[in-house]
Amino acid sequence: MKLFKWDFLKIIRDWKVRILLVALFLFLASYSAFYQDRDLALPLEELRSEYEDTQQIFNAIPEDHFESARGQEIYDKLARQQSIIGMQRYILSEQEGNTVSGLESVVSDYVDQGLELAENRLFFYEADDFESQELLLSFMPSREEIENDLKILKYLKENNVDIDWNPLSPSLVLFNLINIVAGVFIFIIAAVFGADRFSRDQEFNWSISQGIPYSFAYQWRQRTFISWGLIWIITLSGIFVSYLLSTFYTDSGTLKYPVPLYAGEETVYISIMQYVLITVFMTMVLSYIIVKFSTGLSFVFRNIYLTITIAVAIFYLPYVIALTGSAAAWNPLLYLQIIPVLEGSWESLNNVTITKLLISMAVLYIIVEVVFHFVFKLIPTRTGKLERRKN
Amino acid sequence: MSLEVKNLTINYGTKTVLKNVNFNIPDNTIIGLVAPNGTGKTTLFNAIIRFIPINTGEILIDDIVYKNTTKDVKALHSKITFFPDQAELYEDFSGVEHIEMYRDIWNPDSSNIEEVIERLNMEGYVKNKVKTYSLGMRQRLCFAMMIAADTKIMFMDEIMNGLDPVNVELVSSVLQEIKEDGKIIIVASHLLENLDDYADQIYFLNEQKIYYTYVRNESHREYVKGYISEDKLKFLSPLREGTLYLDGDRICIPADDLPEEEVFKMMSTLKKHSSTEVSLGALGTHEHYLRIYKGERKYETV
Repeated sequence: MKLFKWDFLKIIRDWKVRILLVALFLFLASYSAFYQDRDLALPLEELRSEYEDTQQIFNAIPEDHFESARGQEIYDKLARQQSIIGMQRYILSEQEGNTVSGLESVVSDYVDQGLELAENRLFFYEADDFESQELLLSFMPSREEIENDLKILKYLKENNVDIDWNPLSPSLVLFNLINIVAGVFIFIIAAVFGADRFSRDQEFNWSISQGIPYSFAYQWRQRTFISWGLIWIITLSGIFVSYLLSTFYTDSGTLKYPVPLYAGEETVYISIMQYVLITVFMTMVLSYIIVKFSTGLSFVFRNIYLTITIAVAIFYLPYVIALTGSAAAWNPLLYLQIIPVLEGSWESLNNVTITKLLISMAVLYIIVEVVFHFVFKLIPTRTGKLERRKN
Repeated sequence: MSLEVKNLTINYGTKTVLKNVNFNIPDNTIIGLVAPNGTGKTTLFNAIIRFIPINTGEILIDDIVYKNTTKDVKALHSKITFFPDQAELYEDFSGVEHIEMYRDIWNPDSSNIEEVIERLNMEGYVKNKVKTYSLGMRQRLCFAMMIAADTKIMFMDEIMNGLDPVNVELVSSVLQEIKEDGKIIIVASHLLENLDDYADQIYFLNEQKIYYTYVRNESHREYVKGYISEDKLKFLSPLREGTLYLDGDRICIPADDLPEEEVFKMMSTLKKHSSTEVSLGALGTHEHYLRIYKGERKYETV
């Protein structure tokens, strides 16, 4: 514990570290403010577009195709679709929630209507005997998208959550921020924080830092933990402040709002809060491995730029691994990128799962431990070399 | 406690720096390690503490061999401290923090910080950041860190660098005090006469080994010691058997079997022909240094 205090002070007294920590905090804390300037498509606008699409369907499909019994059924459902979309537009424009106060009996409930809308669309997919089915479906979202819409709406209904009319609501900004943090961002931060941890001592404080009765492996773990702890104290504080700030801009949205999570063969919807907890946990685990790797490399190389480059380059390995096809799902290096696994972007590789992601992180941790177990047997000499103990 | 080095050989590439170095140092001992620059003093320290690879040889403390395993090296480092380079202190730390750091790492149960600071007259500056220190202040701080670490074996490389005479004397007396705690202290220094004030034994490194050693407190031949130029050497002739005429006109004439009048006459002659000090006593580190590294001059022929 005594050494911990001094290692901590060495890190925190380093001006480079202080500047990085302040910059990290400012970036994260101000993210929501900058995000407000984005030009995002509002759900209301999307509904407008859908409303127009529905109108065009009537013009595009020949009138006589609506004359059969099936055609009449399709016609009625399309008319109902248009009516629902119109009411949904009104509900969203009022920005009150799933209903409009005092008009519940007139415009009904957004979620109930959404469920009916999605079921009608699925009905169109089943209507094989309708002559213009192909033309009709060309105006519809894909079956998969409709099924996902159904899942979202069912989630909203079961959890009594209002539809979020605002893509800039605090919870959605938080969701975006977490996705950024979990990407290459954390790799760069982790690489930069670890890159100087041993090289600085070896270069500027050699005689005072060598020969202490603690193994290099012990010091490595300790310095890794300190850097990692600092990164996450600042990151979590920054995220919290960002979320807090975004609540000043708007009070819509909820942390219970559903977001997709790829879970093996299908997408499930979980709350933003659950997503944040899962993603932050996994990013923390991954960042620990990266800080550990980067700190270890700083023992080998006294060039921080080289260390940072190597550590960040590791982030792009999964793209190379993905080229190896289905076997890639078993390659732990594939899981160095968390978000594609959570989003299901690598679904084509088969069996890329969160469970495998966790196992892969454990494997990567062990690999880094084993490699550096041998590296730390070397002697860092004053001349900048690592030499093998001969006798 | 004892520190033993057996058959230690160090090569840098194809160049052998130390070859079959052997010695055994008991506790309560200060060793003065003497050699010109580049002869291998720091290499010897670095090898014993395993900062560099050892080609052959063994390091033993209390007859236990410390091998190159992580466990043994860690145990070795808990028993030995190495004098830090004053240029490698943490510039943004204060002197107190440096001393506390060494205490916490090696000697966490001790609370002797204030005592050390007071003993080394550092109260006036020790709380300031190291970046404000002069060379001498830094050197005293490095020494204080070693004292706070309080390990049984201490390697003091170039310990007196940058110290003024008052502080040289202070450090010398502190070295003698801490030696009494059963320590083994090896001091590498170029202040040869100062070594005679506190070192128990002097090791001269030469030709890749401990070339010559002598114990200061053991009885030695008495010499009349002074300086005389070659052209005035004739005033002392005939020179006695065993006279050493060394570099820099240093002359040492054996006097242990001479009558007092003869000794007095010889000293008077030396004083008459040279303004520098004339003394009577055993050969010191300075004379041995000149003899070993500069060689003896052929006074018979001058």
